[in-house]
Amino acid sequence: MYTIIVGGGRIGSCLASKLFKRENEILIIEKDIERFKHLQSSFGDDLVYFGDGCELRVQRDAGFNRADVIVAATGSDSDNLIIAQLGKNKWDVNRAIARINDPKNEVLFKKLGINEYIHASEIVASLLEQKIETDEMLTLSNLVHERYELVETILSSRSPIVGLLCRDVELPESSFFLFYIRDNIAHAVSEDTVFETGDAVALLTTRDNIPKVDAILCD
Amino acid sequence: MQIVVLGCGRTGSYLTKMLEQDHSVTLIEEDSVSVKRYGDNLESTVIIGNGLDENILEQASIHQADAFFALTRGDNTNIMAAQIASEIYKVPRVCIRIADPNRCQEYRKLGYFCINPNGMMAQYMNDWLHENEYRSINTYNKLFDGMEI
Repeated sequence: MYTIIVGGGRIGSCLASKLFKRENEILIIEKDIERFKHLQSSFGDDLVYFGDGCELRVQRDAGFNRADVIVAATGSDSDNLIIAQLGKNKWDVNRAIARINDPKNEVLFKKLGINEYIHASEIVASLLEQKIETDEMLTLSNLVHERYELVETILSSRSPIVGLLCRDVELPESSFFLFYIRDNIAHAVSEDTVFETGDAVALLTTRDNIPKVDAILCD
Repeated sequence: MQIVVLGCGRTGSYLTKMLEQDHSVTLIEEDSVSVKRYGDNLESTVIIGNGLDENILEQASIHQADAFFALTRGDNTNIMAAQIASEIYKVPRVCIRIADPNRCQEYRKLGYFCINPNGMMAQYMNDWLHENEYRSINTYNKLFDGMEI
């Protein structure tokens, strides 16, 4: 099965590595030179194509006409719409799947015959929601320095640090409280902050220390 | 007529200046610098915002529009905005500017009225040089044989 992914950002490249492991034929099209070079170093020269995937010339050279699936995974909904439409109308691709960034565009995509779409942020949001409900540490972002993570948790009434002064909470090394959100208002954490149930607390920590932080903050 | 023009560049402002003599025109432009540069001699209402945003389009009374022009620098933005105007808001006459001749041809095939400025200009120049009679806009809009990929 030949899958072409247009847009090699986080979603595109993550999908590519999953498909790649399953021994599918894949190609990633990326127009940003820096991102292209990065993809080249992880996937090799043959699986990455430099160019604007919205252009018919690029689509032709990438082999849209023999693709089984086109995934339009760029950060721009208009680009994704046009890629999927051209895939279907010009190249007769069997399946054209579009990433939708703005939920408002779902109606339009459906109306224009792009029936297969993924609304990534909604999926992520619902996963996050599930996580929050189970009262765990959430990773908010992978930082440039891969050793560090930005994490957040909502303090339950059983959290060991509820009622404690910040300065009395002993965190592992390279870990810091950053801010907390209480009644929808964000505050910087100071030495004198007293944590309360329901506070959403954000910390910087290292990947290795997440379990320790989790043990200190969550029950 | 009620007309919505998306994109206050050279073309959008020129067209608005002409149309506003006889029609009610609303111009949408994201970049306030462009509005200052090209839109300062216009009487029409200018809305600063993203033309793909339904709130902005509705602010421009797209529901009542008789015509919509998508004239930004972004081909895909123009195509998507035009499809929103025609499929969601049922604007009866929609014109899309598409700089890429091949993409322009594809959307023409789908039934949209698309203008490829460069191709059109090239064919006008060709007719001028050969002292041909000038032809209809549809002829100029058609992709020249041999330009197709």
